Amino acid sequence: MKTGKRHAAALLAALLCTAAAVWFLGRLTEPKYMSGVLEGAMTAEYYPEAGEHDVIFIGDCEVYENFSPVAMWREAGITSYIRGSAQQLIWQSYYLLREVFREESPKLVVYNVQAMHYGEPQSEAYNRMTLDGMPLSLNKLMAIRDSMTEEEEYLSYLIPLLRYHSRWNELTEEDWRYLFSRDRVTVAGYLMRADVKPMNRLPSAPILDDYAIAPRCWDYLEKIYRLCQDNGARLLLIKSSSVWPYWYPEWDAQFVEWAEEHGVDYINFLPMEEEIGLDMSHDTYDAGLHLNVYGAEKLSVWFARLLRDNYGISDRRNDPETRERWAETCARYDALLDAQLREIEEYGYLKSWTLGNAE
Amino acid sequence: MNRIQRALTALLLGCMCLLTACGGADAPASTAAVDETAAPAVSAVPAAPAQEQGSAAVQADYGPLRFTYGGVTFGIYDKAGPVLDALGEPADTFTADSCAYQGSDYFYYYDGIELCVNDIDGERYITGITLADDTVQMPQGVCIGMDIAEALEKLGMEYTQSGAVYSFVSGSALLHLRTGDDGSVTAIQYIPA
Repeated sequence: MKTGKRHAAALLAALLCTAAAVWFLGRLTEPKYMSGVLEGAMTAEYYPEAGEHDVIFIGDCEVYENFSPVAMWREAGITSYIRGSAQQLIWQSYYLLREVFREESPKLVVYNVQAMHYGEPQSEAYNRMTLDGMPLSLNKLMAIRDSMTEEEEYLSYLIPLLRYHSRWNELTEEDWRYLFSRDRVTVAGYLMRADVKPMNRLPSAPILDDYAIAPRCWDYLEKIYRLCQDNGARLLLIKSSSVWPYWYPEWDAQFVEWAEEHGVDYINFLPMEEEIGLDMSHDTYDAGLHLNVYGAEKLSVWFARLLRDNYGISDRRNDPETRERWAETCARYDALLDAQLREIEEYGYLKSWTLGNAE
Repeated sequence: MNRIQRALTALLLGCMCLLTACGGADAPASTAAVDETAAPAVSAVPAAPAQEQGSAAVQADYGPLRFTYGGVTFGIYDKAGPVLDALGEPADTFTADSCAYQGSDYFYYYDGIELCVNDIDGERYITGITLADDTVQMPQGVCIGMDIAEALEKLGMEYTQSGAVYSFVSGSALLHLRTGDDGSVTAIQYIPA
C-alpha cells in the first residue's frame, strides 16, 4: 500500500514536472516581438490597460498605425484604445471585441473595413501575432478555430512549445530577458513611427476576378454589429487613410450599402485627405501605406472633433483619475517620440523600432 | 547568453528533445532580431515543415501570354534579375512592404508598363505586368482603348468573363482585360494563374 502511494506520488510529481517544463520551454522559445517585428506583442498589451475607454478601435495596421489615442485625448479628452494587429482578419476582430466587452464598456466601436477583402485565413505568421497574445479563454479557442490555415495545428496554439521548439538554436538574450514580462511596444495600441518616406507614384490597381466581399466576412460584420448592440455600444465603420493597397470603388459601394441597411455610419477617409490636412509627401513613413506620427496626429485630431461633435463622446479631462492615467500615457508617448527623433538624427533611420535600414 | 543561461538552455534542450521527439530537425526561418541588412520578409514564426523542406521553385510557363517590351520578351515567373537588367533603369520604383515585414511587392515603372516583382524561395520573380497606358501593346496587338470584341479576336484564346473582367489562362500566367462602360479595354494585366 505504502509502495503504491509512493508510486502514485512519484507519477504525479513527474507529470507536474513535465507540465512545468513544457510550459517553461514554451515561454522561452515563443517569439517575444520586443525588437524588429513588434506587432506580435500588441494583442497582449491591451489586457492590463483595459478598463475605461470610451472608444475602441479594432482592425489591422490601418488603425494601429494611423490613429493616435494620445492626440485624441489632447484634442478632445477622449479615452480610446486601439485593439489592432497585423492583418487582423474580421473573425479575429470579432473575438478580440468580445474580449473587450468582457473587460469594459466602450460607447463606440470603430472598425476599419480594409481587411474584409480577405475571405479566408491567410498566413500563420499573422495569425500567431494576433492570437498568441490572447489569454486562454473560449474566445481564444474559437478565434484559433476560425483563423487557422490548413497547415496549422490547433494544439500548437495551446502548447507553444510544439510550434516554437525549432527556435532553440535561435534563442537570444531577448528571449531570456522577456521570459516572464514584456515591455510595451505601443501607446494605447498605437504603434508609433516618426520617420518620413514621401509617397510618390502608386502602382495601377490590380484587376480582380471578383470584387464581392466574401459572405463569411459579412457574417462576422453582422456579429460585430449585434455584439455592439447587445453591449450598448455604437458601431462606426471606417476606411482609414492608407492609399495602398488600392481601395476599390466596388468594395466601397458594398460598405455604403451595408451601412445604410443597418443604420450604421461608414466613413471613407480617402477622399477627405485635404479636409483632414494630410500631406502624403510628409505624413507617411512608407510612401502611402501607413501614416507616420505626423499624419496619425492630424487624422486623430480631425476624428476626435468628429466624435466629440457628432457622436457625443465625452471629454474626460475633468476627471482627476483619468487625467492622471492619461498624463502617464502622454509622457510615454512624448518620450517615445523623442527617442525615435534622436535615433533618426543619429542614424538617419529608425533602428530600434524596425528591422533596420532596408534602403 | 551568460554561462548559467547556456547551461540551463542545454538542460532544457535535453528535456525538449525527450518531450517533442523532434531532435531539432527543423531548420527554422529567420527571427525578429534586429538586423541592419534585413531582407524585408522576416517572420518570428519558424517556417512550417513543408516550407522548410523547400517547395519547388516556381516555373515560368506562360506560352502565348508572353510580353515584349524594348526588345525584351518575358512573362510571369521569369526570374526578375535578367529581365530588369535587360530593360535598363526604370523611370521610378515603389516598394509596398506588408505589415510586420511579412514580404514586399516591388514595382518597377517603365514608360507605359509596370512590373511587379516578389521574393519566392529567396529568388525574385516577375509576378505582375501591367500596361499603364495606350502607348504599349501586347504582342497580339491588344492595347488599352481597343474595343473588347477586337481584342478577343486578336487574342483568339478561350476566356472566362466575370462582369467587366475577361480572363485568359496559359500555364502559370493569367491575363486580365478589364473593360469600361463603352466596351473598350481600360486595363491589361498579367499575373500568376
